[in-house]
Amino acid sequence: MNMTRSVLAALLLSVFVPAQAADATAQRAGYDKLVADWTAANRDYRAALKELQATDEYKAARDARDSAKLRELSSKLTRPDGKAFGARALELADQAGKDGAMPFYVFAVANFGDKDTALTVVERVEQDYITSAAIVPLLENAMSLTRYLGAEKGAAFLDRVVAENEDPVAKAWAMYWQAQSLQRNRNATAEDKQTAEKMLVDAEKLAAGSDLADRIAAPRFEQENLQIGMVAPDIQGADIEGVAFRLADYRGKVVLLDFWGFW
Amino acid sequence: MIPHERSLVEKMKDKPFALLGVNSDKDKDYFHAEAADMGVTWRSFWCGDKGTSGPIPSKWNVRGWPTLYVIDHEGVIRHKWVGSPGNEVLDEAIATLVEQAEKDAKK
Repeated sequence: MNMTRSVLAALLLSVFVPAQAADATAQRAGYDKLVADWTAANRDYRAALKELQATDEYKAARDARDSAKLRELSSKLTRPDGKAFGARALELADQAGKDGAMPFYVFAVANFGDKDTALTVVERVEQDYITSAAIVPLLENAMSLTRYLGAEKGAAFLDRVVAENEDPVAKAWAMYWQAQSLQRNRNATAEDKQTAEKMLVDAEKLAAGSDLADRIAAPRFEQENLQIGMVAPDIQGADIEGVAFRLADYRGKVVLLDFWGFW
Repeated sequence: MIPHERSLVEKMKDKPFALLGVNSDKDKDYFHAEAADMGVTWRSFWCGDKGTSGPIPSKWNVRGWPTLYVIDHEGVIRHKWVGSPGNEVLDEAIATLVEQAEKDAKK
C-alpha cells in the first residue's frame, strides 16, 4: 500500500509539476542552504572569538595593549572562508541560470568579502543584467562592489547602468552611488559637488516612494524633523518576532530610542 | 552599554519610561542567543536583513551606532547623541524627564 502510494505520488509529481517549478524549488533550497551555512560559519567564528576573548592570556595581552600578541592569538581562529563560499555561490548561480542567478550574486557580494568572487559577479552581471530591473538588489550593495572593482572600473559599471538601464530605480541607485563617490572624493571641485547634488535630486525623483528615495532624503529629513525640540516623527515597524508596533504607542512615557546591534 | 541599559530598565520599571531599540542585527538566531545571554528584555524595531541599511536607520539618517535619542512623554526630542554620552549624563537626562512626566501625570 505504502509503496503503491509513493509510486503514485512520484508519478503525479512527474506529471503535474512543471520542470521549471521543480527547478525553482531546488534553487530556493540551494540558496537557503548557502545562507544557512554562511550564517552558521559566522556564528561559530563569533563563538570561538568570544571564547578566546575570555581567556586570561587574551585579557592580559589586551590590558598590556600588546597588539602583536593579540594578532597572534586571533590568527589561530579561522574566519569563514569567503572564497570557498563565493565559488559555491557562483556554481549555484550557474545552475540557476539567468532567471535565478541574481540572489546568489547579491548574497555573495554583500557577505563574502572576496574580491575574485565580486569581480566574476560584475563580469556576469555586465553580460546578463545591465539593462534589467533585476539588477536593483545588487546595486543596493554597489558600495562593496566598487571597492573591489577600484574607482575607475566601478565608475564605468555605474555609467553603463545609468546609460543603458531603463528601470527608474536601477538608474537611481547607480546615480546615487555616482553622487556618493563624487561627494567623498577629496579632490572634488565645486562643480563636481554641484553635479552630485543634481544627481541626487534626479535620483530621488526617479526612485520616488522607494527606500532609496528615503535614504537620499535622509539628511534633509533629519534637518527638518529630528532636531532637539521637535516632535519625533512616528516609527511604524515590527519587532524581531514580527509583531507590529509604533513609537507613538509609547506617548506618555519618556523613551530612550537606541539604534543598536550586537553584531 | 547593554549592562547599563539593563540596570536602567530595572531601576525604571515602575516609572513612565521605556527603552526602545532599533536593532540592525541581520542574523535573528544570533540576536536571540545574545539577547538571552546579555539579558536584553526590551523591545526593538527590527531593521530586517539589510541591517544598518534597513529602512528605519536610512530614513532617520543614522550613520553611527549607537545613536541615541531621548524623547519626552509628549513626544518631543530632548537629547540626541551619536555614541553614548556616558552613563551619568544619560541617567540624569532621563531622570529629569521622568520626573517631569510624573508631575504632569498628577495634574
